[in-house]
Amino acid sequence: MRIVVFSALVTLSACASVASQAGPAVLTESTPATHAELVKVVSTALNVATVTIADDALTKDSELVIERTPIRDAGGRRVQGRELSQPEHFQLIRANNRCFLVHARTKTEYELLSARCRQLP
Amino acid sequence: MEWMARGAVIAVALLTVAGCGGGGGGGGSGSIAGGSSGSSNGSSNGTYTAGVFQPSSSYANQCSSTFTQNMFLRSWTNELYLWYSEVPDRDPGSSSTADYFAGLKTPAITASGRSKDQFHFTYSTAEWEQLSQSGVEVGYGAEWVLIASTPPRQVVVAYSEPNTPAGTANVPRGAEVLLADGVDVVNGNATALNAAFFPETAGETHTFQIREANNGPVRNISLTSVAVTHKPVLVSSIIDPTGMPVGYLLFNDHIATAEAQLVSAITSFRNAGVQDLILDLRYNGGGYLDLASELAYMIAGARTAGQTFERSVFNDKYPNTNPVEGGALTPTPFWSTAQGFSVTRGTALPTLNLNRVYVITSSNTCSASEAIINSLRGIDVEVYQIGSTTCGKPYGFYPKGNCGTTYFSIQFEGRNAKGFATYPDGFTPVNSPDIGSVDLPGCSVADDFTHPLGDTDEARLQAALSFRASNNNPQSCPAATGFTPGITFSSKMALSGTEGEMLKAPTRTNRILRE
Repeated sequence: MRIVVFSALVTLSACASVASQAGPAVLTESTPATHAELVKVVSTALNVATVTIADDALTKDSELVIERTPIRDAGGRRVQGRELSQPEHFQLIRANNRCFLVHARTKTEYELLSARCRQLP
Repeated sequence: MEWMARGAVIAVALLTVAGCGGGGGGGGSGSIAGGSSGSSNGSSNGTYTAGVFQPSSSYANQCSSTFTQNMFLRSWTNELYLWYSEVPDRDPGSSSTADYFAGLKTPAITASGRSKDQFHFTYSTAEWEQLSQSGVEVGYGAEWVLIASTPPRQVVVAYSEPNTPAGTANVPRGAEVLLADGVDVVNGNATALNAAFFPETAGETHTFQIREANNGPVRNISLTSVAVTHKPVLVSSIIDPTGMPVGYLLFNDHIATAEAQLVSAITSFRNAGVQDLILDLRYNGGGYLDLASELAYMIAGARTAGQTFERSVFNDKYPNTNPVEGGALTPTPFWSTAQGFSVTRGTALPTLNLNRVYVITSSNTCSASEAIINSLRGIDVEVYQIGSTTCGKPYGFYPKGNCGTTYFSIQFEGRNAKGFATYPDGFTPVNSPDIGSVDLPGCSVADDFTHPLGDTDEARLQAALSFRASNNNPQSCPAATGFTPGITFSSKMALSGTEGEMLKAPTRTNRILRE
């Protein structure tokens, strides 16, 4: 068994009610630091070790949808071809010149400290 | 099949969450988060008595003993397996857990001679629980088709997606891969080939030599893996051969991002006044069942009102209740509103209100994709099939984790509005030589790697258009072709006459190319 321990490089602020003062946003740039923070926040929110996220996530759309990584059989077909679960949704919002990622199911809000974002019109 | 655990990964989050928000990431009903291992602390060494089954919960997560793990699987199978009464009751002390689970299924065979249960397998729980952004997988953006997986192998490109490494390198459909990292694809070392075709992480660079279709030029290319964002609706076009516009939709994956793309495509079809739809599911192995329901509504519209898209039927111990989720069994309707995958939940869906549809299929057309076909037939929409026999998977699972392994055992079948789900050998065009399958009107046509997908000269699309133009006359079909199991391919064989298995970025433990 391999144990992976990662230390806190960022502080996540989960602050209520920022969503009510803010609007959907997109990242103005995607840097390795931003991507790493995004992966860490989403992994924490979903209680998993890590999650695969595109380098340009949240740069074109304020929504981030997370689902089970598809596993396929030797024929390339999904092993779970009748998926009954629901994906997880996150939304990037901008409030008070800060960027927050909101987990839709739990309504938890995480501040992305390394990110720069702009509110969508 | 069994994919062994590569070592559990335990992440200890030391992040400081300065919290004033909602709850954490616990697994709510229907959520993908939260794991499948369960947390029962049931404790029982138990004894094996043939025909006597203790609750599976009394053996759950007792990992120090092979016997208790086997007892758990034996009881769980007896509780939930669709054909539990056909499973031989073997002594759980007699074999390893992997071998014991392999025997916990029906030994029956179908009309075609295949095993009645072809979908019985395990994965490591760590692997099963991995999460990704919808549609994002590490790779090159090229989808490989394996014509032959063992020497002499043959691998061709099904398609390359735009804005990916393969798309940028102009790796075209039908290109045959000759070398990978200098290793001969036909007879070379499988480990080296798998490493090249299926990069494990972003940033890996591998070289390929490809020969384009129709004996085209040979090129050497270098591809670097990235986190590719797939486009599940890859082609959406309107074909207007006779002033009667036809929509063509290449739908490759039932993932969350497909919802918005399907809505966009169907809206454009509706606005263009398309009279018919050619739905290309040849590379679609399923996914979210609700998306299949939505698309079926977007095809058939008003006639779906009040009808069942699919009804899950469990074993005879649970005629009225869902034994896993609890609660009464209720059919999935044809959703006329978005279910919130990538379109705001409740948004009214567009529809074409068609009473017939042309579906392009292959052996990779599976599960939720077959549910579209079956559900439309259940409400008397005429389904014409062009291509080859579908995979035959009217079944579903609730995967169960125990001691680091997640088990897949068929627990329900999906019946349409007429109560039909008997297609374990798939759907097949009526002129196909395949036996045991459910015959549909249409034409058996092999995959045509010599033309791009969506090209009206591509053999399957061309056959669909011709069939439609002939008012669905079987005489319009080309000579029956299609996948023939066991055929030996050579590099001299015309690619237009072949069909292989689709390989979509499997995990690295799922070794595809074999010695």
